[in-house]
Amino acid sequence: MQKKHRVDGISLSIVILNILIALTVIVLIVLIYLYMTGKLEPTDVANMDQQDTPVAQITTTAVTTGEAIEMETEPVTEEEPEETEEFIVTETTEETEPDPDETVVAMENDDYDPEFFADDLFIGDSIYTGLVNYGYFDSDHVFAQIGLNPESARTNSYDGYTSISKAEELQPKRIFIMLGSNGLAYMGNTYMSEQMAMLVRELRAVCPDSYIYVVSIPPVTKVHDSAGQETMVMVNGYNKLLKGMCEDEGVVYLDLCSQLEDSSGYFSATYAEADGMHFLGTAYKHMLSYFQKSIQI
Amino acid sequence: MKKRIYAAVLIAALVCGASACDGGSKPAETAATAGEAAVQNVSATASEITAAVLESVPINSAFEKSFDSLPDYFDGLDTATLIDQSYYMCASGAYPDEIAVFRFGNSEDAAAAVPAVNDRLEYQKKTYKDYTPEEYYKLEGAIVSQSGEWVYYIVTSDNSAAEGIIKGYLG
Repeated sequence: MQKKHRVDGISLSIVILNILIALTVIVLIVLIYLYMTGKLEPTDVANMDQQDTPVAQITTTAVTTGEAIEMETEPVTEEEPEETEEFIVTETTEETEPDPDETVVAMENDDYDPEFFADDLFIGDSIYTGLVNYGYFDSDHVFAQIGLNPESARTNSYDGYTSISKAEELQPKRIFIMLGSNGLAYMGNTYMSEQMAMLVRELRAVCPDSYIYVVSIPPVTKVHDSAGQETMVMVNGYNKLLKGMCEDEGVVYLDLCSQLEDSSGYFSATYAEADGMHFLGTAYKHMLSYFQKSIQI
Repeated sequence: MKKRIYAAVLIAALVCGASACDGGSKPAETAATAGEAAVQNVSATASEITAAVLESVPINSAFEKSFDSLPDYFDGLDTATLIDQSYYMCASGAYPDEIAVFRFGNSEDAAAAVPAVNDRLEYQKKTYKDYTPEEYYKLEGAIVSQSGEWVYYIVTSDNSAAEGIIKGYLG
């Protein structure tokens, strides 16, 4: 018997062990294959898929992630550098996908002339920093700071300028002010509206020939609203006060908020950054288009 | 009969194991090839490097800034000494994420640029500390590093992974 076992060299336990090893290897291979093909990266892939369509419609320079990565960019030389700022689509949204038909209509109607705003000044918070970051305007025409509110816009200096002194130096044709989102959670709408009125008066004093436009603060997404810190009730309440203040002060109120809302009254996923408050690149073009059309009418 | 069954099962298992080894070697080869290419590709452009980082460590609203705009963000950076660059930032202002890869003519110029990059990091820390405290970890773990004539700057959700990719190119 013993000789027979030695000759065969096979036992049931060895067979089972081999099978288990083989199965383990197979499972590992399947997992590696799924990983290599991207099927195990639901977050990244979902983000890219979500944004491909709307962002590609922004401008002709908008590209999909894949195209951007494959694109050969010439090394920068001392010659005149080419302005090739591009969207790379890694944006995420926390809302459901926008209605494609609504998106297409909105994008097709978005058109503005940069020259129209060539002599203007934009005063705002982190949302307006996107005007510079996305390359819509250079920093000379944008006074924007992360965290800015109607009070700090009057009182705080940045790089040696307050919004007032910046306007005084530039003497812009138009001034577009959008402030208040940062104070919603803790400043109180009435106080912020009063500060905006003071800001308007101070700007008018140093820039008597400038047209002043007070822009409503933008909406928040439904998910952001649910968190409770900044809600649409707060947004609408503040904007209502702003509108009344503009009537009192004799300046124009621009209702951007309604331009960015979806059918349910929240910040549309077409324009909302993942945090539910800031703008995607699409929103700036929509905003500028709305400004220009509103003023020209 | 049992012996034959055992033998057949064993052979099948071995065949599966062998084929599994074959299949398993493909990703390993791919990884080795990618690593080899990365090490060899010392002439990779800054844009290629940042693109590789963004593919693995995405940035929301990532937007590549132009050469001309660099002084707006890196105060004191001598752009005349740059021979290649790529700088992506979260353009919406919602998040502090950004990646910059700079290549200079020599390591001395690269070393001279490091303070300007550190100043940018300090500015961002000051800006975002109270604004979005939940995002501050990205800045606390931010990386500013010089490798020869290269300088890179990373503020992302996974700074070590991003640096690993960059080191794969720069060695």
